Amino acid sequence: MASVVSLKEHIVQKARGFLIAGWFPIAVGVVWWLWSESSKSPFFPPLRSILDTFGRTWGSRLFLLEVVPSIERLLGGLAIAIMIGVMSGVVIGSVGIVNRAVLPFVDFLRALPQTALIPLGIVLVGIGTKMQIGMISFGALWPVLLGTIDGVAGVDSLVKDVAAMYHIRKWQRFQSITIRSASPQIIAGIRVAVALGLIMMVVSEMVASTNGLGYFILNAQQTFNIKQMWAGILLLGILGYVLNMIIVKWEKHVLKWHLLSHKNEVLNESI
Amino acid sequence: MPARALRKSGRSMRVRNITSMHRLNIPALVLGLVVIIAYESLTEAGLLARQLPSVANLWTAGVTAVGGSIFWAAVIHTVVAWIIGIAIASGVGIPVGLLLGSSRFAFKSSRVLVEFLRPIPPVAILPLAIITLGIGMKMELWLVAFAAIWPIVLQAMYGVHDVDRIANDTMRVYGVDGRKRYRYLVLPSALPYIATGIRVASALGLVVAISTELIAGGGGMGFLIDRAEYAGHYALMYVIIGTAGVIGIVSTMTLKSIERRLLRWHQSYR
Repeated sequence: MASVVSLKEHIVQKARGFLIAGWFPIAVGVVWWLWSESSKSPFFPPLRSILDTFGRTWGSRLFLLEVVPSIERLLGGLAIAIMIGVMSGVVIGSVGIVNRAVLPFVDFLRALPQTALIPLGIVLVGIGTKMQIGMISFGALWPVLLGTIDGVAGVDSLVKDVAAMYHIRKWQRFQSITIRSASPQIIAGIRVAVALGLIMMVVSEMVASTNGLGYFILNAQQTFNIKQMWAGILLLGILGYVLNMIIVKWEKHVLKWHLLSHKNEVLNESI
Repeated sequence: MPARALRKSGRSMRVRNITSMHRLNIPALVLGLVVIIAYESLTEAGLLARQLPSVANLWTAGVTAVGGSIFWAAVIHTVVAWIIGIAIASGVGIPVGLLLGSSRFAFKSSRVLVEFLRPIPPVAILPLAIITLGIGMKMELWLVAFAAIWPIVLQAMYGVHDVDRIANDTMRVYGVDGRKRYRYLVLPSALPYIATGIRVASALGLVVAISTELIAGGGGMGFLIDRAEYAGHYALMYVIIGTAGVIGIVSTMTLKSIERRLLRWHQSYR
């Protein structure tokens, strides 16, 4: 009996939470719909026709031709960046002198506006998927590397000493102490890297590509296909949101232990 | 005795920290020199591609660029668009964020929308900005402002939202009125969050400014990088990319040191 009541309460509470969180975005959508319905501006077509174009554009083969390559490049570039970043970050972070020698250069490369390097990629590699994957991974590398270095260098030395004293094997020490205590910073780095990688993907496709979502949006604008441009922007927004959501969910899952002990740290360094 | 030992070790640790900050980073200097010498001998031997100019060439290109007006016009264009864009984003974003954070209802209702808009890559709306605002400074600074506003709004919102409940309740119990509570509790505890938001926003803003110039043209460093690449002036291209990096790191370091100075009293900066 009690459980039924609490279930009902739970549902009511969930619904209330959903309403409070959702009414504003829904209202914005409704206002946009109504306001644009009678819009004569060529640049702001009615939302109804944008959604219509969205369905027709991305329901067709165009999805395979423009969106799939983009996603492949992004994931490929991110995978390379994370692999190289974590592996070299562990080495750099655990050897003091290497850390000291490398850190100024990593800081510089991290602060460099990464998209400025795309022309360099064009010069060195040429236009094409190889260049794009290279640029995405180069742009996304630095936050991961920096996060890993910070995390590994900051492992509590007392914990390390205790583990050594108890003769815990090196590999296990590495796995369950070094990587584990560095993981919050590594994951924070990965989150930033995903946002940067997405920007690198779009810009590289706008500057030098013959397909991809960035190319599609810019090309639609240049050929005055404004509805298709809006459809592209909308999809890119959804892509960014979904990627971010996946990372946040994964972070919550992996770092449950950490979040529980650091409830008050919400300062998130995002970009 | 233990207390004294602790104090002593604490003091020596502090001294070490200070000296290590001001000591020359010799390993980094050695690494830099080794890389430069290795690179230079490779280019001298003709083992690298034509697109990788020698250090001597880079130096000459750098000196020529810094002596000319084209370089400075581009730097000024980018920096002006970037700073005005960040100023607009802060001017709008901080009050909006503070407002949205101050009521639980407003916080909960707007969070989803802001969290949805933030991860959109700002360059996605570049084509829209080109057709509505035209290519040029105006479009560029609005794009920078659009990109930079979300981290600022979000951080201000969370800053106000995460005010210590107990401190707030205590002040209320002691009859401190709302305005004073805001001035002495809410704002000070939101400040570190806002500072982080501005730092993140300014890094993002520079990326957006340069990307805009790269894609749409209309002046600035991104545009000059693109032109230099087209014309095959690779040394000049590297010089401008390097300058962009210097601007990036100098701005980050400046903001960090301002933050440290202004927020000296805060726990996380002590």
